[in-house]
Amino acid sequence: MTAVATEDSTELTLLLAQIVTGAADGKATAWFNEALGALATGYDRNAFLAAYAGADRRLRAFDATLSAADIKRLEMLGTRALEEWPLSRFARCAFISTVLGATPAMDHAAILDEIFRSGDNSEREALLAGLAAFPDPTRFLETAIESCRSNVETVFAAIACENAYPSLYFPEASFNQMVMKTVFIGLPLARVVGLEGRRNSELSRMAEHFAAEREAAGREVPSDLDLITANVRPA
Amino acid sequence: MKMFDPHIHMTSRTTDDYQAMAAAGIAAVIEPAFWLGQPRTNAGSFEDYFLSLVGWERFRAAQFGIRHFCTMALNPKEANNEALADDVMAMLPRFLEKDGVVAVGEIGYDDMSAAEERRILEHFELAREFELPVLIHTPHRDKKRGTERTLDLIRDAGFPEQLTLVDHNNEETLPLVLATACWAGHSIYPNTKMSEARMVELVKQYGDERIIINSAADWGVSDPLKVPKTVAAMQEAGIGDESIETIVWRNPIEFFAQSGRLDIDADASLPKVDQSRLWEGNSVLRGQDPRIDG
Repeated sequence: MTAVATEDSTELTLLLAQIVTGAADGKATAWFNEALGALATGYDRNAFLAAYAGADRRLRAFDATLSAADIKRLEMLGTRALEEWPLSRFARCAFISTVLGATPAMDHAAILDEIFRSGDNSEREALLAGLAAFPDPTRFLETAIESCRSNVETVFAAIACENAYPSLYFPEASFNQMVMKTVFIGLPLARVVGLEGRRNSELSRMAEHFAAEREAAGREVPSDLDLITANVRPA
Repeated sequence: MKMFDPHIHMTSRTTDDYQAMAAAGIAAVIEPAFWLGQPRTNAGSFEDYFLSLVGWERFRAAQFGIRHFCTMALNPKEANNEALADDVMAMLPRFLEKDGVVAVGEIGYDDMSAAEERRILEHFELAREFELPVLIHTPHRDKKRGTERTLDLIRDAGFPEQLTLVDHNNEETLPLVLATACWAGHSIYPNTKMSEARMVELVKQYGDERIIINSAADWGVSDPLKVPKTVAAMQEAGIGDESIETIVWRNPIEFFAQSGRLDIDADASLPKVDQSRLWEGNSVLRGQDPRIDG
């Protein structure tokens, strides 16, 4: 399981922008293009966070139409379930991608962390769902691990489910915690991308202890737990 | 009867309140940003508070089947801390962009100071820029004069009166507000602002046009069920249900729908009550079985 991260964000911005303008009406397209153009010429923190926040309200009436080539390219970058993305998510990722192209690399981790910190749920989800596609994604590891501490199910699922980022970049301890939380809150393990390749003996032990705890409490053990307990590959 | 409480500070209330409100028929609330009972020491406190209004509190309300919207502003009292106010005003635009923010508010006079007046005018500009209505608090002290000054300020600034809800009215201020095109809010309180019985008399005298009621419940002595209690008082006094529904449902929707962001007619998509959901690691439940409506 590999992802081909972009060297710079120009191609990604163009791809995402074309998806947005291909679906939105004239008024929403004009708003999007103006915001994107302003971000490309210089970083204004408040303007960026405002455009990022306002995208859902302006674009929620429209659905993205994705070509097979679009999907293939974006999946190569580590994103998944693109047909379920609201159009605003493509727009928000285009804004991020543009800002990454217009600001010094040393600022990038802080810029993305602030989006997570200051966003409402859908803003947080857009960032997490797109995270693997941005250049040099390991820079955003701290934000990604922090996002796993959210118990807003949709926010947690945006990083843990249908997203290759954790299996590609998480250290083992963080990956294991995320997988166990997925089990704990009742999301299917089949939604964790790359789980098979990241199985390890510690995760197996945690799963077995979880099963024992549930059994002792007279509670149900999720039927998909054997995805991480049985036939563990040697570490 | 379906009811709207368009001014209530739910962050100060318990889950018992949410449960009782839902049982009494309250289907939607608006939580205006206000002060915390004591002054904040830094702008970061505002940021976290604003985030909680569009985050945790919205989620908490949804768990009881109540739609939660909010208004964002620097409140009148803290407008007097100039340095802090500058930082908060700079932060407001990105919060006014967020989903579910249906007005600029609550703004207005407290001491009727020059600083308060300047911030009111700045909020009018933000409301124009973001095409939002405004919710205006009227002062507790020197109320009639404060309301007159508020109405003068709206007129002099050229802010559209139909986009303005002037709140916390009483017998003396209501006729002043109704003489303009502004909407008139009434906060039904246990002892002070306005009572159920007094509200009945006002409705009998002035009718239902542009009249709105709310509980303004917060962390003080207040009652989150004052909207349904006032409905009951109006019914007992023989006011027709059509008129009551206009006051407690149609009017607040008509006013706040001017934001273009109050998607309340999407009633079918009201969140199903699902208390098994968690928020930032915190369930609103403490051991009891979650209620999930199928």
